[in-house]
Amino acid sequence: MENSCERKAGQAGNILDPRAKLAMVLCLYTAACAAGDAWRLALVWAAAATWALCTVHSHLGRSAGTLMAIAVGAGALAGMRFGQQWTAAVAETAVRVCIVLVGGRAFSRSTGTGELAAALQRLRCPRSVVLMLLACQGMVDGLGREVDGAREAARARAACLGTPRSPAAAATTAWWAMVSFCARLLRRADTMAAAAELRGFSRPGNRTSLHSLRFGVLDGCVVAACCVAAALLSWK
Amino acid sequence: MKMSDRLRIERLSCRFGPESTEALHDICLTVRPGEFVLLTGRSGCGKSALIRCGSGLIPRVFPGRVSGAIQLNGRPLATLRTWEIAEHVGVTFQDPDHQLFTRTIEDEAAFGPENLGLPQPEIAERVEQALRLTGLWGIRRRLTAALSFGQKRRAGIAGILALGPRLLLMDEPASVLDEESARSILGNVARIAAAHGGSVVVAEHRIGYVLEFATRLIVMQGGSIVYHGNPRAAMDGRFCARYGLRPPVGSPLGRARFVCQGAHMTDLALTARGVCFSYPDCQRSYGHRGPVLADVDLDVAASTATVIEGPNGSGKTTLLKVLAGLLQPTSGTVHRCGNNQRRSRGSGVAYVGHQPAYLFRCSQVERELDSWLAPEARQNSTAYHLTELLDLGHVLTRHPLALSEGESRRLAIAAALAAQPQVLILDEPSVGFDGYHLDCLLDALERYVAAGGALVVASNDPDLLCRMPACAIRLGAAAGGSAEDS
Repeated sequence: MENSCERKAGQAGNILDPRAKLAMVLCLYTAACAAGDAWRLALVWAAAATWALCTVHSHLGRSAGTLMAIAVGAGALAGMRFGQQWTAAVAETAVRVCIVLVGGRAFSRSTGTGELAAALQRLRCPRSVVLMLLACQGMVDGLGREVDGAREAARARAACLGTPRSPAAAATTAWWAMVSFCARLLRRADTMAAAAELRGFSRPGNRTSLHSLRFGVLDGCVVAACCVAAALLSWK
Repeated sequence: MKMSDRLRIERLSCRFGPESTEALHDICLTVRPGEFVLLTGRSGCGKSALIRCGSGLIPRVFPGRVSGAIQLNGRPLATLRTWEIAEHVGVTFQDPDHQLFTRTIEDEAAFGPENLGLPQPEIAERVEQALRLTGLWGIRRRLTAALSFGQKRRAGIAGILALGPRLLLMDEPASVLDEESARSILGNVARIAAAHGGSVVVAEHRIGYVLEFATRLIVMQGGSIVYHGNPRAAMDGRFCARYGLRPPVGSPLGRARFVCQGAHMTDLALTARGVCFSYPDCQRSYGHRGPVLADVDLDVAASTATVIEGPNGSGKTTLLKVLAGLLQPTSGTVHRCGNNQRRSRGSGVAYVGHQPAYLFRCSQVERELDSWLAPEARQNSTAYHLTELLDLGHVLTRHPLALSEGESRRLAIAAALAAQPQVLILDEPSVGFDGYHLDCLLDALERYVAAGGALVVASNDPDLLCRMPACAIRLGAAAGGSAEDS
């Protein structure tokens, strides 16, 4: 039996078609970039609603939730209290950046690689672009694991030998951590390239998909609503 | 030339690497349909190079100079394009992290067949078959980032099996797998090979798992094949000793070789009481919300070794990190009893994990070891003894990052021993170790324990476990495993 956590975090959600989610995120980005002062609050609430919607079937983690809460709070405060002051501009920028980050993260955490590849293929995206995106995603995930490994090793070394006390020693430590990180990353890239080649990565012709996608009524409604909202916000 | 030969190699020589060293010399090898070949030998003998040459990765992806002739299913390898090779050969690499591309296990298994443009029903059928063979069908929608190291290994193998290759080249597939998974996967692979005329070549140090399935044994030394014949030869301890192989667990050389003397549980170095641990992000806890560790009690005394074993995903690594102080337990306490005079730096606990390369901070192996030396050990020749003990003498002037995986692990263990910690914690220390280096490792650990150190090792390696003292703790499959896994 798969428990609830597995459904949320252990596996990708599939309530919405990835194409609908793509349209939703793109509309949100457009609106985030285009909306003026008068619509800031509406935008903030739209972002919060999107975040809540994505959270239902993807586990964003505490950091993303906190980030979004801060963004909503900052946006609301800026809109209500500071009016045209420079702090309002800073808060507005922060809100936009948060919307972009959280929207992207919600999308990636709730969409499987296979689903995304299938959706892009259905949207007639070139095979080379789809494969490049898959490889990049694999590399980004790997990057995260390498960062974790480097951080853990630094703590293990400090636990055994003590924390470097002088700034020079700390700088040396940071430098060697970076060197190790780069060396391992290059090795990982090499092996991943080899593994990809031996799994037909460079084969010409069409790529097929395990996933058969279905663009339902809900997907259509979401896309239409997002497009209208983005158009309205951009026009204003 | 028999057209039915899966792989035919004639007079193959290969030079690669920054120093263009000769990795393979005049290799001749034929793999016939239905054969299960066990390829073994000491670390650095050329096993991985042979697999890379046999699949065309050298010189297509990894630069190198190759001479000789290689034929795959009767066709010269040089005339095949790389994606065509993918239809004939499946290769699994040593590090499973380096061959996962997608976010879920199911997508990972489908990645190869999708690239080959197979129809959707066939992809679905192959994916199901591959995932059932590797015991991952029950957790097929789990994120690959949420898997344990052993589960990642199985996902990598599933991705290759889904391609349906007629020749399977596997580089250390059993390392870090628990015994049940290793036997199950290798057994399934052997059955497929026998039923469909496929062939399997397994490069492995843990020959105990593979011997029961192997139809032929090949031993390499210094880039050449030095033995070619019946796998039963490796059941002989003297044969293994001659070629530096790991002796099978049942042989006289494979029995317990060191025991703890004078250990008193009152002389505690580390205690854990009621330790529970849950990751705040479910993704890290192998996809489960429940605790990875539940109410663990543990006493580690000076002059003893403690072995933690359990199936893949049972939380061994998490427990080690909690003991090392790298993770804070959700509840319960870990107490490091620090009355040892040697605890002049840090917390007196040394931890060597899966990625030892990140521990290094110097440009030479010799300097790296010096940087770890305990102040009181600088007066004597501790570093020299450790390099001799762990066979690092020939790499003292090399950069730590230029070492092989096995050498890198040996250096990390030597460095941790040089620091003379009160507690030494090792996670799967024997991965990539041949018989000779396993002996070296056991010697070094025996001396550490005899000198009053407390050793904690997490491992699934039967060659290591059977020679360690009996103070063993077995974790259940609560965190990652399920009935469907295996």
